[in-house]
Amino acid sequence: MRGDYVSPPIPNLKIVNRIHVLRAERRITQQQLADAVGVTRGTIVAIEKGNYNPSLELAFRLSRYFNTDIHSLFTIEEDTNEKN
Amino acid sequence: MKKINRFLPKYLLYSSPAVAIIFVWGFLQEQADAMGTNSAFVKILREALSLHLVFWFMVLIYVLILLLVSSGFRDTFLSKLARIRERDERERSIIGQSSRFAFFSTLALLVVLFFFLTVHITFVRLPAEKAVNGKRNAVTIGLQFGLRDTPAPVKEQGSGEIVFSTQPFPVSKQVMVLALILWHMGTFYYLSRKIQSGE
Repeated sequence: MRGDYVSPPIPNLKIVNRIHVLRAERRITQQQLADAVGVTRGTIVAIEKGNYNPSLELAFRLSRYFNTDIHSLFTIEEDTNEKN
Repeated sequence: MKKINRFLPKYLLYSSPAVAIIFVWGFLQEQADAMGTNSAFVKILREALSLHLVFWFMVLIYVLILLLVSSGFRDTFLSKLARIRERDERERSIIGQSSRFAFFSTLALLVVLFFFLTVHITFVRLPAEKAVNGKRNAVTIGLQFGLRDTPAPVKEQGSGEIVFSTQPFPVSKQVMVLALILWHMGTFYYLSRKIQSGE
C-alpha cells in the first residue's frame, strides 16, 4: 500500500484585511494609525495593499486599536491570481 | 566613552576635506622648505597641522579597531553608512531578505574570484613554426594555492604570444576588496529598493 496516498493540492491562500475600510470610517490617516500602533506609514500602506502580512503581534495591536476582533479585521481566502 | 565613540566618525568625516587640503598644502610647503623660502610662521603652522594629521590617523585606526571589536559601535556606524533603517517589523523583514540576497551574491562572487585566483588559464598564439597540426592557438591551465602571496613564476608559453591570461590577476588587491564592498552594498540596496518599490 506504500505510495498510494496522494496528498491533496494545497491551495494558495491570501490574507485580506479591512484596515482601509475601518480607517476611512474613523477618518484617520495612515500616519495616525501608524503612530498609534508603532510602525511606519510604509508598513500601513503595504498591509492595506496586501503586499505585507503583519506579524501576529501587530495584527492584535491593529485589532485592539479598531476595537474589533482579529477575525473581522483579517480574513483568509483562496488566491485565484496564482503566480505559478 | 559611548558619546566620544559616537562623535569620532563624525569628526573623521567632516574633517576629511581639511585633511586632504593639509596633505596637498604640506606637500607644496615641503618643496618650498627645500628651497628655503618659507617663513617661520609657515613652518610652525605646518608643524601644527601635521600634528592634527597624525591625530586624525590615530582616530581613524581607533575607529577601525572599534569596528572589529565593538558590536554596538559596528551596528550603529555601519547602519548609518549603509543607510539601513529598522524602524518596524516590515523594515526588519526587508533587511533580512536583502541581507540574504547580498550574502549569497557576494558568496558567489567570492567563489568565482577564488577560482580565478587558484586556476590560471592562459590563451597562447604560437608562432607558425611551432604550430601543431596547423593549429596555432593553445590553452594552458595551471593551479596555484599558497598560504602566502608569492606569485607563481610565469612559464615560457612555447615562445608564443600570450593572448589572454588570468595570471597575474588583472586587478590589484585594493580594487578587489573595494569591488567586494561595493558589490555587497550594491546588491543589498538593489533588493531592498526593489522590495520597497513593489509595495
